Amino acid sequence: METYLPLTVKLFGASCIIIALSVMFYILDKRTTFKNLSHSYKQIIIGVLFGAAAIFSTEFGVDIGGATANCRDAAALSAGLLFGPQAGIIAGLIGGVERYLAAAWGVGEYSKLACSLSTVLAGFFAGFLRKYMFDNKKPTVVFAFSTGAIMEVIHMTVIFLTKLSDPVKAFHIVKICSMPMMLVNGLSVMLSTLAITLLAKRKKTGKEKKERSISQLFQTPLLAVIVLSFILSTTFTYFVQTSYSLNYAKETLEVNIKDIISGAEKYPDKINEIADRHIGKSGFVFIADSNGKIVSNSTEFNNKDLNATLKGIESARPDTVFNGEINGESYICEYTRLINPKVTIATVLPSEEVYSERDDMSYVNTHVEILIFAALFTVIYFIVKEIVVKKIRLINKDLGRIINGDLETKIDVYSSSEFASLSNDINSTINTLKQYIAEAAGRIDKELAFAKNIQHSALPNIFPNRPDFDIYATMDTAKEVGGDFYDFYMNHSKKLNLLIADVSGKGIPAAMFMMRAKSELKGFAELDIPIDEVFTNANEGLCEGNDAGMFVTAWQAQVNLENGAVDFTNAGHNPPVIKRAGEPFTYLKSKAGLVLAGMEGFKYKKQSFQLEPGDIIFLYTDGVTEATDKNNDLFGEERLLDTLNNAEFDTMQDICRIVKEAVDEFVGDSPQFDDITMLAFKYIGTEPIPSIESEKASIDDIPKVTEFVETELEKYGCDIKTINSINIVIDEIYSNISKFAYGENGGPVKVQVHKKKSHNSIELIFTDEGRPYNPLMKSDPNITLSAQEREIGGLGIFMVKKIMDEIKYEYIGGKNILTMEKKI
Amino acid sequence: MTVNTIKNAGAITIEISGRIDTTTAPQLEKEVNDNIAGVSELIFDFKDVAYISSAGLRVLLTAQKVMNQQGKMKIVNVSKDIMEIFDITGFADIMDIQRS
Repeated sequence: METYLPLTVKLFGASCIIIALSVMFYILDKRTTFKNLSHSYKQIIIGVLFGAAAIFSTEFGVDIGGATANCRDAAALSAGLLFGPQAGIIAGLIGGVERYLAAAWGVGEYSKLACSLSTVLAGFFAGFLRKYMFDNKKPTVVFAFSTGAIMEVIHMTVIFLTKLSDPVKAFHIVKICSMPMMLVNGLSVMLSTLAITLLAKRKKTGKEKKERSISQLFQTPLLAVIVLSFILSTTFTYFVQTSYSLNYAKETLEVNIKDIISGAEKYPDKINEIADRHIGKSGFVFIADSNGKIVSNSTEFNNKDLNATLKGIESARPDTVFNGEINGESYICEYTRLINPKVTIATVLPSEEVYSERDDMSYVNTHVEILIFAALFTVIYFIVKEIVVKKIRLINKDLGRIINGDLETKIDVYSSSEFASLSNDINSTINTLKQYIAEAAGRIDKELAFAKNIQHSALPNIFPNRPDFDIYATMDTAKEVGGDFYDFYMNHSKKLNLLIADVSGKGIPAAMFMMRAKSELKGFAELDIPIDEVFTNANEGLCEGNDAGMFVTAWQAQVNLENGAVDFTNAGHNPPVIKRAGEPFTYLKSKAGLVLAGMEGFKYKKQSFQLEPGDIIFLYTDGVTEATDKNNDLFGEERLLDTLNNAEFDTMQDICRIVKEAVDEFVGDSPQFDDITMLAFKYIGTEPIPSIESEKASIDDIPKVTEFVETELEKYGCDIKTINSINIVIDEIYSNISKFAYGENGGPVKVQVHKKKSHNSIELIFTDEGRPYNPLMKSDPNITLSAQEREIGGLGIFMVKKIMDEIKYEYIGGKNILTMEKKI
Repeated sequence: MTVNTIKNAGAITIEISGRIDTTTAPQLEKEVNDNIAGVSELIFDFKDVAYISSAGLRVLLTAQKVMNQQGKMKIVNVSKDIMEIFDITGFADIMDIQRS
């Protein structure tokens, strides 16, 4: 051992370079721009520099009997284990090739092949371990040391294998180099790893301890078991061989003693000659006389005192093996005392000779065992990794996909019954989950559709057929339910309220807020208070409990249908479009107030303008102007004006349809982002409808009524056929009222006729105050019966229905009102 | 409405002009009833009829039912507009109607 220490210390000079390089590259890669280099470049630079460290180790190695002890392998190992397989292989190749060539300038010629091969091997070995065993992470210090030590065992084995023709010298070299090389290389790699580990830990302080992987957890006990097995088997072999060697020595000593005794019995005088022999290779015999003086032929010890020469003999019993010492060297000895001649015969064998075979065998055994156990460790490690860890990773990877939302992923690991059951369990769990999700989605869809239904039915969707105005509105929601809405209704002072509004946001929350806004506005508007006060009051209501911070833009007008005067208030809504009779559509410039629910206490302003018969107001939400095509261009206010001005329309329904078509065409396949809501209103005015009345309905009035209607119809240029048809209708309805509406005393009837401008049709209205009677409820006669079977009567209403295009019956305020329309 | 009845042996032709409606239908009904006894052929000439309402149709139907028992009935010189009324009421199917 005492020879190892200075050797080891000397070798550490080179290992310091390896440690320094490891620290340097670690810091470069973590804290400087070096990390931005491509992986290959980094590997090459690291590989080359560690190769240089390997060369340094070679040149400053320590020559031991023709072989060079050094830490060259540690350079390749550190590069490979700590920085990557490619770096390790490059460093190994550089170090190995240089070691081979270095023999030319005097570096250990004897083992040049073995040493260069080992270094190359070290590079590959480290790369392999890093990639396949340590999952491209640096190893722990224990594994770093083991790798270094085992590499040197391999190195020694390679020396042996390349020098099989000269095993004695090879063995000699191995015996000297083995321990220091294992220590130096193991420690070098270990210290490099330790330095980096410490640096990494310092950086990570404060972070919670990283969980270790199964293979890491498995490594340590496996290593402990392997090391324990190794120590046990080595110790056992050592003791067996020691005992065997002792036994062998004892037999040798005893055989010689017996031989000398039997010789002495025959020739007592010649005992010295008999005893002058070699025992084993370098053992010999002492003969001492009765005074204990050595008398045998061995000149060196002649005449000396046996007890003084062979230390240990005094306390030893005769005929037993004992450990003696001659000139400070250890011997295995046995002695016996003879009576005739009276002498002491002591046989000795040097301990070194006795144990040399044991020591040699131990060396070989230890090396072989290290290799076997290292291989065993690696194989067991890989088997576990292959059977368990890899499969778990596979499952984890699929689970990761599932967690990221891909519920179609199937776990497909059936390599063992445990994994098969795990896979099946996970798959069935996911299936159940999928089922629940589908059910929940279905429920939500149903509820959304229901909500949409409620929302749509809250908006007026029956458009009154009125002589004094024409109105139409549409709403297309982007999601199932939206935040847009429109409204129109008469308040008590017979002003027509027109409203368009847009709630911030979309979906259920917007729809709920929309319902609130709608009822607030309508509630106040029906109180017949000015429109600005309607908004101011509604704003107060909407601000209350508006924790969600929603708001509404709204534009509402109150139209006096009798004179066309309009009052309106704008709460941050898009400007409406107005068309004056005979002029193009233009935006109505107005001052916009704050959005509703925006701020408590806001006072809205009323603005006014005058409508003339024929004027049109077009209201819309930003869903129209901000509809986007695939290039993200907006439909825009210009395009809306162009569309309206180029539209060929008769009714307000036409306008809404044309605008919607234009928006749809513009948007193309792009998704609809916002609700699209429109309301078109045309003011026609309330000229009194021409009428003829009778206090007491009678069929005798019919010619008079017919004449009145004919006169009116001729004003509109109606043809004779239309006039005749209308006359039939008058005849049928008037005679019905005369005969059936009242009892004996009769009652009043009024007939009105006019042309509806908005629909280009003739409207005929009968009003009586008789008993409620809806002629539309009367079933049609069967007109397929034969003349004999057919009933007389019932044909009148049937003919009216056939002649007129539209018939509506209302019973309002005790009056039967029958309104009929015929297109002309 | 004016009505003119031409008798010719067992056949009579009733020429009508103007409107057949609630007020005039009773006049036509009376004309038919006065002349229909023993007639084997009844012809209505609609050459100058402007329109006919359900009251007029009722007179025609009543006459048709009588004539079914004792002979035949015809409506001639029916204008396009009047024909429409006969068509929509199904009268075209049960009466012998000739277009003008």
